[in-house]
Amino acid sequence: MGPDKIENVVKKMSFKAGPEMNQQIWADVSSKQERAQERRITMNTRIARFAAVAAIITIAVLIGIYLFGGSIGRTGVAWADVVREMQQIRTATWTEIGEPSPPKIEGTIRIAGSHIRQCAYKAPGHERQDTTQVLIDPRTEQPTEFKLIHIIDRNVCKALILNPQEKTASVHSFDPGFPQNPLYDVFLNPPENIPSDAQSLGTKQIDNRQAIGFRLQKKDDGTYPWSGDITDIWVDAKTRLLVMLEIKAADGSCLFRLTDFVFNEDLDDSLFSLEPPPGYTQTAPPQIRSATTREEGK
Amino acid sequence: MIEIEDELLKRKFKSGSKDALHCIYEKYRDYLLTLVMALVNNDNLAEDILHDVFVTFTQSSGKFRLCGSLKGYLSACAVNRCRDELRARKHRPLSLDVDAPIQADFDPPDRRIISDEQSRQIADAMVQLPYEQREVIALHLNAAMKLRHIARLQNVSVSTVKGRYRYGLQKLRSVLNGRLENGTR
Repeated sequence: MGPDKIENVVKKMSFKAGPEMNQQIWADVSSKQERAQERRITMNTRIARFAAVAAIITIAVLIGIYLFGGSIGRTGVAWADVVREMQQIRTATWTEIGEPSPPKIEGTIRIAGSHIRQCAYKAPGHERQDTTQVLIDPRTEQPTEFKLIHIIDRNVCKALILNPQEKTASVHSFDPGFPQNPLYDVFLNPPENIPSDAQSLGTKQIDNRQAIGFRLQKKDDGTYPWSGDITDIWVDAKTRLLVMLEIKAADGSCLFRLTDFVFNEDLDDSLFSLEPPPGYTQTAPPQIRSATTREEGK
Repeated sequence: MIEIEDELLKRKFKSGSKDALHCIYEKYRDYLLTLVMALVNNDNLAEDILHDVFVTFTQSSGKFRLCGSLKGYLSACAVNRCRDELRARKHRPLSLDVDAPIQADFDPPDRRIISDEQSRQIADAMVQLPYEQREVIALHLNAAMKLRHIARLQNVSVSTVKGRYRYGLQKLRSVLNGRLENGTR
């Protein structure tokens, strides 16, 4: 047998999965994907609720300031004022802009610019995030816009995911114990780790409002649990409510910016409905893992 | 065209599309199975490895950032999994030695992996090669991976890979020729 021939013989080697094996592996793989998606909902929720987290940060900072002397940047704004205002929140809307940092290329697809997420919150426990991301294939320079909508109802532990481009909808359930809305956590379980090294950023005009800024930096001992290394928060000097929040990397580049906060405006219940809109095809929700999975069968 | 298709599949997969995952699975299942069989020549182990490769791949969708080809990525995953399994089995007492040739005189009717007789014979012969040589041959001929990529995967020089390929083919030829001669006697 010559060298060419043996190479051809090896190349022709072929094994195929039998139907039973194929079915079993695919069942397991698809169930794993559903679980991964459930986890992703959680992650998305976490990120998109930075504004809610901001409330915690605000209070943490202000507690720290209280320890320093009771006011932010000598403006007379006390932390108790902010807590009181945050407790009154019925609804909130804001815009989250996420920078593609650090990698801007995934495969041969380039992430073009920031992702933009329109977020809404309605007490108690209703959340909505409309995410838009532009991707560009560098070879064709053709932009593609990705849109995804997450609607979460923490009262029934369900989430509806809508894909407006494919017109598909899927309803997912999540663990009732995870995670509580940080807005509630703030008031029911005040943060234990108070950043004592918060720096004043002074005041500046944001959207024609006088805002007071503060900077938190992640500590080496991990007592600063928020994402990013630096968090700059800005509160309205008059209303004591959030105006802007920026989550930054250690080098100062912005990872997330939360702006355009509007509090206590009436929001229609339909925005938070778990019913798929007309024209959407409902895809199968995640299945409960059966007892005869491969791993358990081993 | 294939590359573009894979790029779309990757993108859709990353955004959580079940259809994309199914397409990837259907597209690369048998290809990976052939690669893994060439490396381990053990039906049960190959099935486990294939399963693990796809499950791991699926679970990585959230943080999936693949710059190279999907085929190459999955091949590397499969190869790494084969190495792990073989290494684990070496340290496991009383285990099946996958380095030893496993030959079947006939195909049991309930075999979960379907193949022709010639493929079985080649896999039987391949498993007699040292693992590194087997890996080079399988990756180059079955996965169409370039030798320099294999060198990177094996963390050796390209000339070493060429040597492994050449010696591996020589030995494979002698094993197969020996069988042919034995079979004709």
